[in-house]
Amino acid sequence: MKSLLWKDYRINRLLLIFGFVVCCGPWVFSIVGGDYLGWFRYNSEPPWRSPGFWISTCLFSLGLSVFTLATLGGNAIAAERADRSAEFLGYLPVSRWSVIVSKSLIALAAGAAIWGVNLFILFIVAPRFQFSYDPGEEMIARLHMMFTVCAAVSILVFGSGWFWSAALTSHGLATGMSFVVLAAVIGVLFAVEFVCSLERFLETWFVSVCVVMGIVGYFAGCAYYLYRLEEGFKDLIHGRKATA
Amino acid sequence: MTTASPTFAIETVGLSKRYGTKDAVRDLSLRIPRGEAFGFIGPNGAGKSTTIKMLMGLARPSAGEARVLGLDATRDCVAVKQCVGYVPEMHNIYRWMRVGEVIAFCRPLYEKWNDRYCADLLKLFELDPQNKVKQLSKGMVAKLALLLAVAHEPEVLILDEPTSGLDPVVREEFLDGVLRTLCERERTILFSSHTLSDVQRIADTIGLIFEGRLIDHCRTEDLLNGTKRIRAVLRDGCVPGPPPEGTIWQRVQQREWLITVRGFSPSTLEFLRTKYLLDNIEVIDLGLEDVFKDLIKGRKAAT
Repeated sequence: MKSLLWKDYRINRLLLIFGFVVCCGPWVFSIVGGDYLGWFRYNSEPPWRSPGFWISTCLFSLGLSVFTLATLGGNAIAAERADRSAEFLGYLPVSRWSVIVSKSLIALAAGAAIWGVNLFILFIVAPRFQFSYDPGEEMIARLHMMFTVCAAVSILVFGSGWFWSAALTSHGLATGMSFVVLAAVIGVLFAVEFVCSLERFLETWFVSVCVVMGIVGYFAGCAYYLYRLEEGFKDLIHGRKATA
Repeated sequence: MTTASPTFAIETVGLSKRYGTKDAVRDLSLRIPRGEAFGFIGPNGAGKSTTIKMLMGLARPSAGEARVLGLDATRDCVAVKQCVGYVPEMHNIYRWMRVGEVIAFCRPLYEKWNDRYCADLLKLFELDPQNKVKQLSKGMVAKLALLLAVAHEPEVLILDEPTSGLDPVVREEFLDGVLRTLCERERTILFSSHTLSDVQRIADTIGLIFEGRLIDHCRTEDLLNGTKRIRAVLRDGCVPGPPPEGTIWQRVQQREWLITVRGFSPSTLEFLRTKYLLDNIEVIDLGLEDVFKDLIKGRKAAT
């Protein structure tokens, strides 16, 4: 397993560096840029005295990390299939379960690190600065809702990226498909909302559909990968039927 | 359902594989005893690679079963891979890894890994652990693949056209490596190749597969000693008739009659001499490549 984890880390190393930059970049940009370029010119107090500064930076960072998670999902299986190194892995005495566990652990660790850094800054670091005003319950509630939406979108793009990664050979296409799925979910739900005017559309309907589809996509991708051999699903079905 | 047979390293019973409507392998029953070097030959698309993939658990059989060292190749594929070394035609080793990293990656995956043997092979094959796989020539990648296949001292070595596309010098070095592993301890080798001189050099027994069926399985020396080409020159006006028993291929060109006979004996010549008026008759020894070509041409003509 250690060997597989090392290999998956190495395959995703550039992406993980990109994810780190995307996660920490907004914070660096906000603190340095906000401090020197804008905030001081228009406000008399430093930006970190405002709760809005912390919240918007955190949401921006989490929003950008959706791309990282989509790419992690899309790359998971298809990247090795694209350069045919998956065939080499197939000759080695490793179970498909351990391959999946290793890939999932890398993605989980990356997701946990992205969210961990942001939540740590927001809930541990930020309160140490004295805010110039109280965020208020309404702002906190809105923050929670935005967090939930962000998490749900992350789960959806990762899960659907994972599924397409298991089914396709191109990791770029698999990543792209995860955004197509996101666009489709948004489109369909908005259409339904327009016709039926759903109550609590964003926090209930959108979040639920995203989470369910993301989880289903992940497990469907795992099942497909476990069942699929080099020959593909179609051939397998045809082969079985032909000899039945 | 057959029982595990420890005498056979590789055993298939009624093994079949169908892709859509095409039968890639049909009802293949094969037994390779432990310690035997088996040459698996056949034309392109005959089903060699598909059979090997089923033995390695990389493809599911549509019917029948494949066993390696008594283990079911589909159900126990991880256990099978522990005791099998496999060198495919395409060496899709991670190109971004260094040679040393590939070895370090594979090493913990095997229960047995002989570091000393691995170091010996690195030296023998002149592989630099610091080189990246993508910087290696095709021949060097093939040698690295062989090293990875044998460093865990597998009981069975499966080589699926491993020398395809290699220049003669590298091919020779590769085969020397294979022969070395054969000599060092008793290993079963399944060697599939289109370079039949290589197969002839290594194989104790030969299996010929054609259109998914195993059409011949015998000892290499029996096949070569028992298969001869007869060149008969017919006298003017004499027309060739039924060929002798065991004829696998024949061709008539003017007065020259070429016949390849399986199970050749003096009685074959006697048959021709008594039945036809001949000016001349001679027996030509054949290499494995000629035997293979005549067998396939004969089969194609028959179908």
